[in-house]
Amino acid sequence: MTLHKLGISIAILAVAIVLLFSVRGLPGNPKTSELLTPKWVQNGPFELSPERGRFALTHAIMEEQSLFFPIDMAKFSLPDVGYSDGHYVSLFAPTLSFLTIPGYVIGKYFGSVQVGTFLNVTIFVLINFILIYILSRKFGAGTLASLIASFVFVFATPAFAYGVSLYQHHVTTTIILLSIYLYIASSTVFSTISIFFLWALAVTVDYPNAFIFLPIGIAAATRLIATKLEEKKIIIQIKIAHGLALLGIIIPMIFFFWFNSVSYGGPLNMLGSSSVAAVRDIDTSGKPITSSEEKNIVAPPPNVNTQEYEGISYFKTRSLINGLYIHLLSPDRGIITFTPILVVAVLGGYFVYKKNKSSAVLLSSIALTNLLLYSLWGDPWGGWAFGSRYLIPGYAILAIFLASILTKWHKNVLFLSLILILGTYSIFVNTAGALSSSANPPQVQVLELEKLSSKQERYSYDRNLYNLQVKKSTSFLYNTWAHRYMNSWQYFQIISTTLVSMFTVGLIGLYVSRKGDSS
Amino acid sequence: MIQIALSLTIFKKIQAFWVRHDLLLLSLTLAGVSVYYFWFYLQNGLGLSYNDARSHLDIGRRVVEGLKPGLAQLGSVWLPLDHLLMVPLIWNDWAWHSGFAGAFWNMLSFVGTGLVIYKYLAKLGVGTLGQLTGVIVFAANKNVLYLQSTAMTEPLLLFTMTAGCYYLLLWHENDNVLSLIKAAFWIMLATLTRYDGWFLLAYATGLIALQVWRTQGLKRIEGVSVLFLTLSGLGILLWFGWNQLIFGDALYFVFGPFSAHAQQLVMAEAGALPTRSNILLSLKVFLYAFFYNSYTYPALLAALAAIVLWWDKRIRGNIRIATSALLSPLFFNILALVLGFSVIFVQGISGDTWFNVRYGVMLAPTIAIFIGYLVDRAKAFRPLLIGSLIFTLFFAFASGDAVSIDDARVGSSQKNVSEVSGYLNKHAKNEKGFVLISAASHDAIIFSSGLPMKRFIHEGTGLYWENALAIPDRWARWIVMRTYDNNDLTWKGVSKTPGFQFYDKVAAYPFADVYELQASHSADLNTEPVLGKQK
Repeated sequence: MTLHKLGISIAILAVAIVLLFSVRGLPGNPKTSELLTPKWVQNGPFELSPERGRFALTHAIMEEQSLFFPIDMAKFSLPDVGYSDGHYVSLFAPTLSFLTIPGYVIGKYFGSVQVGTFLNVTIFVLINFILIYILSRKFGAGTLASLIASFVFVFATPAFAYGVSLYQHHVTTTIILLSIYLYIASSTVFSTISIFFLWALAVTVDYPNAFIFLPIGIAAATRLIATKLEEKKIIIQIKIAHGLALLGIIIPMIFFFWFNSVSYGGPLNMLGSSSVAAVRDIDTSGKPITSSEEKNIVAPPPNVNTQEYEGISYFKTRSLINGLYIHLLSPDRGIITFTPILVVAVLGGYFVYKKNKSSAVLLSSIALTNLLLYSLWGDPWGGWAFGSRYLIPGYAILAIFLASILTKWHKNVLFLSLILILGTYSIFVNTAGALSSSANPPQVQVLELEKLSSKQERYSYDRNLYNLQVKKSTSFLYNTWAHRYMNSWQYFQIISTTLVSMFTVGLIGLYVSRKGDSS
Repeated sequence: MIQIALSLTIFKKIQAFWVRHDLLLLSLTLAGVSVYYFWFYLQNGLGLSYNDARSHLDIGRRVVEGLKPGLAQLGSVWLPLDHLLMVPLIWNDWAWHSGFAGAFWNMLSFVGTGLVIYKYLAKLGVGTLGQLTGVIVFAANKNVLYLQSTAMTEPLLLFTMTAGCYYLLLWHENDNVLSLIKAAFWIMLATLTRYDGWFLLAYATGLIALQVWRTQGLKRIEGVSVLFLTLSGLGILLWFGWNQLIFGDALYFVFGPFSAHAQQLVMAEAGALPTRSNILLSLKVFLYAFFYNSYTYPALLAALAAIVLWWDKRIRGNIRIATSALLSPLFFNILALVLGFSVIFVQGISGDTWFNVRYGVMLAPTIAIFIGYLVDRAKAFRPLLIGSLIFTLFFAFASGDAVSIDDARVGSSQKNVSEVSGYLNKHAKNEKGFVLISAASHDAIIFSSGLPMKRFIHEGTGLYWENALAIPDRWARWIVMRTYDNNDLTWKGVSKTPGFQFYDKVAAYPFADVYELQASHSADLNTEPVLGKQK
């Protein structure tokens, strides 16, 4: 092993260790009835329904050998649970729940089933760390700059908080980065097949991925046709082999249709079809109270022409102005509040563009599609969440841009100082999120909450800092071991200071290196 | 691998055909889109949702039909061009009641604006792709498509203003006096459509003065400006003259009882004019209206494009300055809000309602032109720009996003008068006798009743109106008015007359009540237009 490879391996190991210290969880293999207690839900690792819903499906598969939820697990998954043909079913795209099965099994063996399940996601964080590094290098960034950029993605963005819990965003990011890599690294039929396979797979991880993947899917599709200009002729070549690459979608789609058929009664049935009702609550006899029953209570709005207003109801251009504000500028989710270092990274797009125009356009298109799509979304806050979780794939792209600008300006002390300040701030903010909770309410809900709780409700990262000061950390290692020696706040200080130190050392190394490349 | 060889000659022929017939092909396409959307909104009944659309149609109709038809019916509430243009079609009952008489000119304006955008971009040196992108950004906007399908005045204004800006650009480029005269002509038409045109006139005059000063010195400013203003200011001059002639006061349209000013005084008293003297709120309200009308992303892209354009050294400085005229609706609307001349309610900012939010559509051609330019300029980013626009517009159409329809249907602009107009249709249509009603308050009822205009005695019917207010029981079999509301001129006039006691309230609705003369007092009732032709 060369020194270069050793350095990279050490970096990956260091990242893995910090992630291990941060992963959320509690020890034990809880029974279904235990999972409903505050220890696991309100105050524990299953504080929010996306985590519960996905874990519930894994649990049902492993413990019940079924895609249907028993009543207790259905209650556990509320409000993201459906009711179809007399059964409670998951409303989430299924793949993450299947991907976490190995971790579930291993975790159960070691007596920490939830931690094992969550660690599956952490593995995807490490893969993303490596992929960002590889892609940054592909676009001409130096080794150290690429490692710093990967580090920033993992620890200085809200990706950190979602890498230590059970969310789909890191899996989505892995699939997108892998597709980008396949696209730029090779134009063989295999790479095209793989891209279409990954596109379809991404849809089974999270439905909106169908749209986020459009830029790369279209770029790959252009390989099917090539044009050549010859004397007085245009030659259009249709590459049948690449056309067959479309078959790449078959396997994920077979899985997807099977899941839908079993869960919802038909291959294309999902929430919104007549066969599945969203469950809002479960009564004492175990019967569902569905949202359609609630709808019957509420009168339809007056003067609404349904012909004009029906359609794709989740994504609306009317929401765009608010969505952009929430994702970019707001104090409760905005990039500028949670990860301002990535605002600087945008400039790096220029250097990627100078290096490789078409790839820069592709990367920008993916990031822009990510931003636009979730700004069109009626709930840009992502429910109760830490930072803008929907933009995690976009953070990865911006990290690649950051690597470029770090490489280019690695001797610029002012720039590096700015990066150090913004990076330090971003690391502290996001470490607070990762070690405490993702349950930050949207600012718009705070007034109502304050009325209910009769106390000041925080909605930005100050809520996480407050939680670390007055409550326990949600970190598994803290809860099982470190709490004997320190309080949550001290644990946070140690982890965040360690990360800032690593970041600072990296930047110093970058400054003293030649050509922005320590290799 | 399948290979297909196509002769380059075919492509060259297609290209040559496009170059020869581009305007025709574009016109036909835009006309097809325009007709389809007119039909679409006619079928689903949204085309006449705006109360103002029905009033515009009634004004046009009163010019050709009623108890006192004639040009005087154009009134002073709105500028006259829109209603004058309706005259050739409005006599037809279907064209009146379908809104086609008003929409027809808006549909032509829609096509015309698309063509002007195309030509404007060509003058900026933009290639076909950028030109077509600009046209598509303009045309693929449901707010534009909806408004062109109605009898509202905005599309005509967009066309005349954009055409004025185009010839202004041309004049900046070639210094040809004919371009200046053409610019003056179109801006004159804009000044006769909406007051936004008056601001453009002032702005354009400033630009012209600046250009002359830069190229020919101070001395020539007066001559060129006078030449420009002679034609461009003619419309305003005629409007003052019209008000003096008909109402005896050249400023009647400003201070008259039905003027926007009078309405805004009432609103200000009620505290419903929060943008007055508040620059930040005015800016916020208009920008929201603008973003909602343009689906936000194109507006942001256009802002970026404007910056790129104004820094683009490849375009001459005077041309870049000329393009700023495209922003005059932005300046005008913010200024109008600050000065309290205009009111816009945006849901979420101004309570839970919409009002006049359609004004945000005034920058639709501006956005289209700037984006068309950007697509041409940023060659490497074309896939991103065009792709992201398609992406946004797909969701705009998929979610049926048209804030102008909300503005018309659920805001203060709409009045659901179907009950009261339905009553008139059922009980008065086949009976003899006039209906006394204030058009200023209830034009929508007149329109929706389906009765001919000559069945109504309103403010514009001269002696009929005066007589009916004095002795209603001699002239009106039905009276439609808001009981106990002195802002309703009919109530104000008849409620204190002795004859009013002979009426029974036969129907009461949210917007107006219907009174009918008792049968025992109908012996002396006039049911025919006995006053003949009035001056």
